[in-house]
Amino acid sequence: MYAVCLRYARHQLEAQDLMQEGFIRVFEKLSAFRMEGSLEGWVRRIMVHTAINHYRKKAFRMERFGLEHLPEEPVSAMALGSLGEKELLALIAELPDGYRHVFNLYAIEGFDHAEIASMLGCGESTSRSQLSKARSFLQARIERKDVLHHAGKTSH
Amino acid sequence: MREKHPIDERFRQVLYNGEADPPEVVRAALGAHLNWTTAPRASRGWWPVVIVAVGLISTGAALWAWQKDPRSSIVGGEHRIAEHAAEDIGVPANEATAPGPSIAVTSTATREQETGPTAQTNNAAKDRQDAAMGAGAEESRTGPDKTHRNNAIGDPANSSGPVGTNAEEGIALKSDKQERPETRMDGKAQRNTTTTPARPGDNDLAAATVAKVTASGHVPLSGTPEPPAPITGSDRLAFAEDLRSIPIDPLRIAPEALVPSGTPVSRGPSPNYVLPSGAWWVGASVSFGNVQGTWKGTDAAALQEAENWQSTMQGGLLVGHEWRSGWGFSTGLGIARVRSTFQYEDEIEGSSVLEVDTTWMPTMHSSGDILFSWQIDSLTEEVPGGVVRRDARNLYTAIQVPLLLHWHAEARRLRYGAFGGFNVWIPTQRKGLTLVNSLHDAPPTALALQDPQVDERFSTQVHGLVGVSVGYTINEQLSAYVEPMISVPLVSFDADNTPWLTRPLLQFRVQYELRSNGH
Repeated sequence: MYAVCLRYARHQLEAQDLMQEGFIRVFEKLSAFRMEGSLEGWVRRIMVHTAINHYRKKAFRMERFGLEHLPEEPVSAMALGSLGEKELLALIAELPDGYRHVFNLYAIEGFDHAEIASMLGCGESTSRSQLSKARSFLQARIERKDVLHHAGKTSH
Repeated sequence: MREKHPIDERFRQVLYNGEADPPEVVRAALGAHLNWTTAPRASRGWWPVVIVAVGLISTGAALWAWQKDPRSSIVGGEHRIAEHAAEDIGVPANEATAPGPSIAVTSTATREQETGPTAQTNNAAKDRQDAAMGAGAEESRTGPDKTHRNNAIGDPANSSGPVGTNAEEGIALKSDKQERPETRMDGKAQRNTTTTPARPGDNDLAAATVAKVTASGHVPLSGTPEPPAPITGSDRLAFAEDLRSIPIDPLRIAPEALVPSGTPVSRGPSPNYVLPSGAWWVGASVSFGNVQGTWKGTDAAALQEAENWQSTMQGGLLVGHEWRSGWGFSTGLGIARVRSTFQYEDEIEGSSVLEVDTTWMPTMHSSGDILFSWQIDSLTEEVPGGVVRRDARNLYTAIQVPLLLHWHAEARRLRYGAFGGFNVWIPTQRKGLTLVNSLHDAPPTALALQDPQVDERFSTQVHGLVGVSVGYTINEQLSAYVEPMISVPLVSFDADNTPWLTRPLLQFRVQYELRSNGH
């Protein structure tokens, strides 16, 4: 669950905060768990909702760009494949709050835009836009990392 | 249709099942937090779990208590066995016990069983056979009837069989499938055997003896010996020495879960990392509202008629603290202004005015003298009485020191709540007119508010303040509130003719939450 919190938080202290808050909620709501389905999935959902609520409380700025389709060129599979868990986590942490949450919810947790809009209190179009922006951001970062990586190799 | 994207796929593939270990401080903080919060109430579905847990704990506690009883000590039983064996075979006890008392005797029993017609062995017994080495084994093989006294307790951990308990004598006895033939043939004895689970560990006692006991505590053999006497005196000291030589992990004997509730448990230091219990904030506020004023005192009626309360405005700085529960408090410093219009018709009585006109004329004489001639004329003028209208815009200023209790809840970015408390009202400046009654019989006359005669009317008051709050969190730290509230005077110190100002206000407040360092 700490890995889940790390994905939603901007830094480790915040992830620790989220995790503690989430587990406190888990223990408070434990009686409500009906032993149906996976306990891990249930705890995970609570963690995700805790993270979302945490940022709602803090009123993170949700950039509202409307429905935009930015031109995207596919990032090379090699550049993607070379990234490990830590690097991917670091990339996610670099995302602005709004991007990060939409990307986490859509790409990793598997929610659709309607669900995300409901959870974050924004429109579906906003969710789509945020996702698109997040991908562009990540793509740029991945390509930059790839370029730096190759440059480092050639210099050696 | 859900779109596929290589970035999404890669992130999901790597991170969905990603794991990371949180720092220990998080676990410690979580544990600490849960210790001081009410545990969730067990629902009906938990009853079976609770019952099983209670049963396990009771069993464990009983086992622990049994093991703690010196009369039922493993080593004590072992010691007695060695003693009895030594007596029977006619050798000193120390020889019989060397190198290990119970090992020697047990070894004998095991080997006899192997050679016996109905010997049954199991893996545990074989283990004990392997462990049972030494001369004592040969010595105690002098006869099968010597071994029936081996009512010693071996190591339950290495025995797959049950452990017998002698209830009457408090002697813990061990039963195993490695029995003497006579014993095993005694069906009653087998049925009456009481059993408890084996305990792991304690390899020093690996070669334990085997015995079968009845529920009454007697070994059901022919020529059953007298029960061994309790260990006393020097035997107990020897027993204690033996006990010290055995590496026993107390946690395995009495796990923490089985420790009685009254047992003091030392706790580690409080974790460094805990969620902030709350946050400090600073804020600024400005309020507008109406004033409903009531004068009290001797000139109250005239003042009430003359002064028409208009509006109030106040502003100030606040500092407060809000806990995670939503409760908080604040205090600060502010300034309040109250405006009113003053209209009074001063009655002036008629009067007569005497005007005196004096003239003189100098006259020069031939002798050189100057003669002054004076002429005095007087004129009386009657001034009629009347009414003089006095108008003024009064302004009262006061310093305020609020002390408020807040509660807020959140719904997304909206915050709502209520607050209440006290507000110390300290009058400072005033401008305009007021009324004083210098003569009891005469009507009051207008007088400037700055006049020291009316200082006593404006002393410190305590106002009660209550309101509701609706806010919007602009970003992580900044939030803005609209707060309808009402301020009512409660106490006035050292003042008789004093205005009591009830002020319904609409307050606008911005609040900036100071960053917490997480501690």
